[in-house]
Amino acid sequence: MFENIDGYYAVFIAGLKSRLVYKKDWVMWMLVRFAAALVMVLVFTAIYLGSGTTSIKGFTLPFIYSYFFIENAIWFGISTDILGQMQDDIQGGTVASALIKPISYTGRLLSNGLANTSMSLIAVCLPLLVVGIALSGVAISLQTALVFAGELVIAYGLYSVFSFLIGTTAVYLVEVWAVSSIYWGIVGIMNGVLMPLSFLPVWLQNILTFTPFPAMAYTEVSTLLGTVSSQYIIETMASGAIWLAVLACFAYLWWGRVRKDITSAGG
Amino acid sequence: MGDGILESIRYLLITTKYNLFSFTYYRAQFVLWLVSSLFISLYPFIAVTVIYSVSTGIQGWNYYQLLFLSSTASAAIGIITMFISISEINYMLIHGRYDAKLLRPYNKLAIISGGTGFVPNISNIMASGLLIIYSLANLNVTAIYILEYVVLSAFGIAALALFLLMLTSFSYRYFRGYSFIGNFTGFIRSVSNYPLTVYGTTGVILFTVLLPIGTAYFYPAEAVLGNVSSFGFALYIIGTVLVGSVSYKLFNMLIKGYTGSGSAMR
Repeated sequence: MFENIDGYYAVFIAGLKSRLVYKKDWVMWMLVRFAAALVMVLVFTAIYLGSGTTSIKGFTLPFIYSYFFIENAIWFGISTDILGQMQDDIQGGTVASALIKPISYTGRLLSNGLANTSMSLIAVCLPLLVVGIALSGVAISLQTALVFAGELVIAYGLYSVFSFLIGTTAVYLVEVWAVSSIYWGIVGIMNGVLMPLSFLPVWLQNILTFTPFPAMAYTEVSTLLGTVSSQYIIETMASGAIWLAVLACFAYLWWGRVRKDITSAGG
Repeated sequence: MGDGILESIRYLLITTKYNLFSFTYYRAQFVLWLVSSLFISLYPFIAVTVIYSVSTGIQGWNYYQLLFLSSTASAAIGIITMFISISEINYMLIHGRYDAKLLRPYNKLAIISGGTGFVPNISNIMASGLLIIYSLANLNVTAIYILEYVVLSAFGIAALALFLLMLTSFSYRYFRGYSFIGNFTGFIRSVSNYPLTVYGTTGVILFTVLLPIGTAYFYPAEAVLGNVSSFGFALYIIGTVLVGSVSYKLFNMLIKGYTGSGSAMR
């Protein structure tokens, strides 16, 4: 996979350029994403100010602001376009020629996905992250920043592997979007994007500790804000890393199996 | 005669029928779509339930009122997207798929929107309908308020649908690309889970006048709760007709320049 590094770099650059072709559309998309991040901030402002409460499950209002800004930053930052690409390639049949090119198909997906991530990272993720940290008033130590970076890599890996696995269903289904919509809808609840996980029932929180989902946003936000113990961070990081390794192995084996079912006309 | 309303409605019905067939042709895919659409209606239910389990909720709204509001929004957006898919229309505009279609002797609105709807949203609408009935059963509501709600919803949904069509043609003309319109329905869904009042005065004005999302869910829900006077009711009808008319006019102006291959619109 690393023999033709120039090829992957070229795919990455092409991916970046293709996303900047329609600049006004991109700016509007960015504004919509920022506005979407503000929705829960405004909802919780109304809840806190309306009820006069100062803390809900340990979250003060400034921390809730930070939570939703940082959580949105992470979710946008780790999102890749792997799924959409696989849908187009497999259903459109271009995967057949992509498979015989001198660069690996999965490597090409990752390079292009990374281009998408880079754009989100610069345009949406970083500004939201800065706003979120500034609002919390928490001083981030070097150690916390390093742990956060490690967690982010695990989260990105998990997101990519799950996207890849769902993308392979394009071989057997007409569209991947239904499966993807169900899956990411469930994940959105279980990784803390909808609400901090501490707001969910305790029994559900306990179950979630055995899944990779908290490592896909909630742990990262909690690490920065310092709302969970070191033990929790270590446990979810370890759990996330193990899940990533297992899922990556499974994805490798699964791809070897499903690619045999790909025809020149796609899936 | 070809430009007649009846012919255009007939065209719309035929394209909708074929759209339905095209969705149900792949049965496994259709079932998956039904499940995913069903899930969309459960999302606001989960959000509202979690909020009220950890707090006293949004001031002036009890659990059932907010559930009613968010389910109304989910149903309204479900109805619109079942007949009109703005991302599909945007895609077709960009790819020049309306080249031949727009030469047909029907209303442009019917041609552009015909057959683009997302049929599986029927499960979203039905589930939201059940949640609306469930919340209404727990609210003290009179029949006249429900009638007002139905009338206001119908006007609001029509106005928002026309606005979204106008926005799509605007986006095509000035922004191109897929990202903005592709994410806009999701944004509407996020906003409409909650009362407009939580977004402050600016939000109320923004989502009533500039992006009239509130017309399809907030004001109809307010009517059920008895917060809309006779004057407000009349004002709302006039307002939605105005939004719909202006959107329709702008849509026609924007789509007029569509000359071919989705690229020569000036």
